[in-house]
Amino acid sequence: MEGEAVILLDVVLVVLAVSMLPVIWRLVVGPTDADRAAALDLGLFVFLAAVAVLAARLEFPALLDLVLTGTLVAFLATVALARLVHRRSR
Amino acid sequence: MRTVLAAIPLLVGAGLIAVSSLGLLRLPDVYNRMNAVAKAASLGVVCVLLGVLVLLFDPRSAGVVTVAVALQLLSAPVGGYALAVAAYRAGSPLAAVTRYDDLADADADADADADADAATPEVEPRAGRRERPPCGDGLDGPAGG
Repeated sequence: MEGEAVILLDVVLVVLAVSMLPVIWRLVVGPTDADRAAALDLGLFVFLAAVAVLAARLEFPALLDLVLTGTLVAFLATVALARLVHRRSR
Repeated sequence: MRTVLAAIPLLVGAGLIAVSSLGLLRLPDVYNRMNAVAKAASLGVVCVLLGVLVLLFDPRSAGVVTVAVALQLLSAPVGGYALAVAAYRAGSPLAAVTRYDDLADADADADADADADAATPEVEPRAGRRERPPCGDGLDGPAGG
């Protein structure tokens, strides 16, 4: 990976790391369980994007398989959390 | 050249994810935040994946990224919708600026239909919508847990 690409990928990684901070804040503060579930959803998305960027940064394309699996896991986790939020209400 | 070509989707995707994160921080209620997460963040992940594919192009990565993008575009709206409906059923407060609550009307209509089917004409119509306290900045809603 040549020089400009490394700088570009590092900038993207920093942006992703900064956008993880509101996720953590929303996970801690709430105020409802649905907010925490939404924050966890976004956190998984940010993590998947970061893994994809790392696959290019480290020139290790096998990490893209992890992104594919993580997409499925994020969807299943969201649906399971939705059921949990629904069941908590009664 | 390839770096410049990859920079466009990578920066667009990172910007979309950052905007989505800002929306999670600033938007007033659960439904608006879910909107930011389900749309902007999934599109941001798709853009980042396409940018990564431009940077390291080989056929196997292309196949994996195609499947991941398709799965993301299919599953993220479904998950966001499921979570938003679950939040509504759990009684999350609507923002004070909410003007239309079609789901409450639908629930009231369903209740009215159920009452009509029960064939008890003297039963009084149920109060369809639950009491929802408005939540001003999203921080003073009821703690949910």
